[in-house]
Amino acid sequence: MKKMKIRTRMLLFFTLLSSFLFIIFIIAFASIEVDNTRSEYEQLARQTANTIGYMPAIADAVAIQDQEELEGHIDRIRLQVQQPIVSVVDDEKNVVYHSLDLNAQLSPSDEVYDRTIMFGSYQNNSELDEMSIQIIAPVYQQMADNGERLVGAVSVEYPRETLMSSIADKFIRLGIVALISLAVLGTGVVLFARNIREDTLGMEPVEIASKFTERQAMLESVKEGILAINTDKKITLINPSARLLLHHEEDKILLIEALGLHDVIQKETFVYDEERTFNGYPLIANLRPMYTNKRLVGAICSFRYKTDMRQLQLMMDQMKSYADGLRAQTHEFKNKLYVIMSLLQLEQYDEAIRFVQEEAIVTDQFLPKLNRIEDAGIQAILLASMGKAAEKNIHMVIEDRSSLSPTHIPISSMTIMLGNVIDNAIEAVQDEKQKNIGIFMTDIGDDIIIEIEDSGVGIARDEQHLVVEQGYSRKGSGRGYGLYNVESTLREYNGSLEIANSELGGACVSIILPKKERGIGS
Amino acid sequence: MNVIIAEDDFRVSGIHEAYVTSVEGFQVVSRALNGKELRSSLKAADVDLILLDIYFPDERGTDLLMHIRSEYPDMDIIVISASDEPQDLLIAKRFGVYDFLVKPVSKERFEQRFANITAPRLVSSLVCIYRSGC
Repeated sequence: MKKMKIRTRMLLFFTLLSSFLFIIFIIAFASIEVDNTRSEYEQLARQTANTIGYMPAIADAVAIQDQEELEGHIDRIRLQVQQPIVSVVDDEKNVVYHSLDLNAQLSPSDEVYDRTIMFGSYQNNSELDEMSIQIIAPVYQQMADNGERLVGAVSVEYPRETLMSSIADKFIRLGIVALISLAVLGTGVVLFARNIREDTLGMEPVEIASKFTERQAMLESVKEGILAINTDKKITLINPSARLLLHHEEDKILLIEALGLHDVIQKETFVYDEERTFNGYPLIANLRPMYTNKRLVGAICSFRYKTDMRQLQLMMDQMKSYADGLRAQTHEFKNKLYVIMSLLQLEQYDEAIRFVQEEAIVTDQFLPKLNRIEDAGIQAILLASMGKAAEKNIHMVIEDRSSLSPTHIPISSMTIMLGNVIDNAIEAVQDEKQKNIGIFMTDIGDDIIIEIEDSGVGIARDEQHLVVEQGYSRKGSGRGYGLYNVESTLREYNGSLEIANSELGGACVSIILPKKERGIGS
Repeated sequence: MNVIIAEDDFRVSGIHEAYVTSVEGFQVVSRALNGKELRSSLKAADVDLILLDIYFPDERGTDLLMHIRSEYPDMDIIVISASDEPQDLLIAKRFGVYDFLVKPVSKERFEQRFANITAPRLVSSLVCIYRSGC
């Protein structure tokens, strides 16, 4: 199921959470507010009843049952205390004033005023369940001798409707505030989510998690070393390949300096395929600054061993050279057909027959020798090399005694080893008068032995140990990696390289490989 | 017309010589087995036409084309090679070779191409005489 967007999720979550909180808040508020409202109205009713009960004008009016006088005073008071229902009775329980019905009378059985009229008691007849308030207070008349006389009772009543209306009014105001708060919260959530998305480059958390997993897998799988630092020169990213270079804690700082990441941060420059050296290892590095929202946040570097790249390049050169060799063989074949066709057209039939016979002999001799080399990879290398040699008029032969079973060496490694040695032999004889190359290979015994000899100028005895060193060459600068790579690859298979003088007059290079795989690289 | 045959295979070179000499008005003045021999032959003889192969032991015929065109701009060149790679054809076209023949070439086709080469040369010679008396 597709996950909701972060903005939607945040909005939903905050809406639900805030709604829940609001409901709790409203319930609590309502409970408190109802109590408060009751208390307020009760107090107001008590104060109003007291005020009316102690007003001399009211007491006098009750004593003489002057309704008009009472109406005038009480209506003014009612206006100021939210219009309660007020009724006044005399000491005979006759209704002297009633704010709703001026002609109202009490029934003889009505005992609501009895306690007040008889004993001057204050009564609180509020109905908790009904949400109504009624306070009854005595009305005293001031006498000439400073005494008081009970002349009646006053009732101040707030009905349920008044209380509910007051509570509802407060709730409406609270509701408006709540809605505004929700709207502000929703807008805040949207803006917050947008802000988060800006920080996450517009990606959803699930996308970030996926990319993070991919990134981890990629960093761990690449052969290149990858190292990133922030503007405080602290490492923020390092993959296993880069970590291989670090043997001590202080190597981190040295590696950052060796790669030149500081300069990239300071100058904000991009660097492509530049050579760096760390602990004696030549590295090819690419560096670039990193930006977030156009703000420099650090620099990143990818690097790999220079020798790896050179080896790869050499292998590609070898492959290209084999393709050329095969192309040369095709051309050679076409040339031979062309010779036969032309001799026939020139009516030189004897010459044509002789040519065909010669070619048949060469093929008869060559094919069985090639077939005795049963390793398909080596066969391919030999065929391509022979094509290349033939194009340069070099006589390349496989020695009669040669034979080889399929080997455990992959063709990529064999290309580096055998290909480089044959190429060297071709180069050694191409400008010589005698252009001969002999190849011998055998796997009798425990080792695979491949010998390539040529009729070139050879390698002096005191030079023979130098030719396997990296960069050593008699052919000029930028060379001297062929035999170095051959020996490096041979070491991977516990093999060895021997150089001697050849009976053909030039060098004889021997490749010796253990026949069985005995812990490669051990 | 004086012809140089530049071909690294001596048998093919011999066949080309037989073909060239069978066409009236053409004679082979030299046979070069590699690029080095071709350069020295061009210096030594007065040459009108080169039959040029693409692959030599020491260098490629396409590289030799640049040398021939810069040193001998009026010389006619026919490339005859087993190669039919587009890159080689493109280079040959760029250097203005007269023809590009892909081996194997029959004797009839060879003679036909040689017969054609004399016509434009005759016309260009007449134009040259008319214009400046060269």
